[in-house]
Amino acid sequence: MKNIRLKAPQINASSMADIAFLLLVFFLVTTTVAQDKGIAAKLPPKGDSVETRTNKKILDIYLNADNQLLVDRELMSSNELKDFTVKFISNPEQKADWPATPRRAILSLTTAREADYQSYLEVYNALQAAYNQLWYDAAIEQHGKPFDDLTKENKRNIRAQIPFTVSESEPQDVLNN
Amino acid sequence: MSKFKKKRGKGTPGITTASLPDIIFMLLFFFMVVTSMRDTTNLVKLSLPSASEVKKIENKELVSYINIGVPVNPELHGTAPRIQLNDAISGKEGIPLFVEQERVKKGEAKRDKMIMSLKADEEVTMGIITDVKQELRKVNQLRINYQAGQRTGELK
Repeated sequence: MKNIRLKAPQINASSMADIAFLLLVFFLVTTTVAQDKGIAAKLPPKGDSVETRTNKKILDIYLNADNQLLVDRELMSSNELKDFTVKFISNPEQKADWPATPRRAILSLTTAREADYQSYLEVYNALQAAYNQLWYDAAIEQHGKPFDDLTKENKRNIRAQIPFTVSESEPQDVLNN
Repeated sequence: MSKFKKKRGKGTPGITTASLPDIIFMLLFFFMVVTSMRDTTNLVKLSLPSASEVKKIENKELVSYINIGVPVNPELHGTAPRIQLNDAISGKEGIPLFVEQERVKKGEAKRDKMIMSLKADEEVTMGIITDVKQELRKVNQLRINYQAGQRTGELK
């Protein structure tokens, strides 16, 4: 009955370092650092044709085979497109052939098959930039803070007020015109 | 009787950790064999375009990729821009099957939220991009993403 007090067993911790290193190496090898960045877009469902209701106003954007941008049949650079789109949608002067409210605006984007992807993306980027600015302005006006800081619900509200509607014509349509 | 009592008093024996490294090595080799790197090798040249309004994709699990560009190996795949799905060069007819396979991989809950990211070379023309988009529409894969780098500053 003398040695009843048990000694705690010792665990050799010298290999802990090795284990940690192995794990480290494993994760170093498997993780990918490539960042996914890009412009999100939503395609229209199949067989969905543009509603050509009378109260909708269409901004006709055409990128031709020589990468030239024609907006309402006038030549424009993609730098100017953003400001022009913002003006078209907000319509500060209430022009009759421009949309009365942002909901009534449709951007019709037609691209020639021979146009460069880079040019197309510049155009799409300009449209996205225009809407980002409109959303930002609306957020400042209604909530007093930038669009990115709003709650999900408020963001959705603003997007519903100023919907990003780009209609991209199918290639067949281009051939027929 | 006193014989047995003595033995009990010796305390618990220490655990030997000499075989621990071996166990870890076995685990390591197991993972090395089992894991396959998600990143496929690019069979087409990709120099992504840049844009100012790019956003990071938050949920990486939802993303699948389609590469579009001029083949790296012209003897095998020609010099015209082609579509790469997973590890093979394919025609646009392969897209519906590819989308279906990716949907199965994502699982039930995430299937509808899948994002198809188009990694296209900036030099390709819109013809092939339009074809891909039409194919995606046919199989109702509507959420897409044009992969692009962040551009700072103004356009030329």
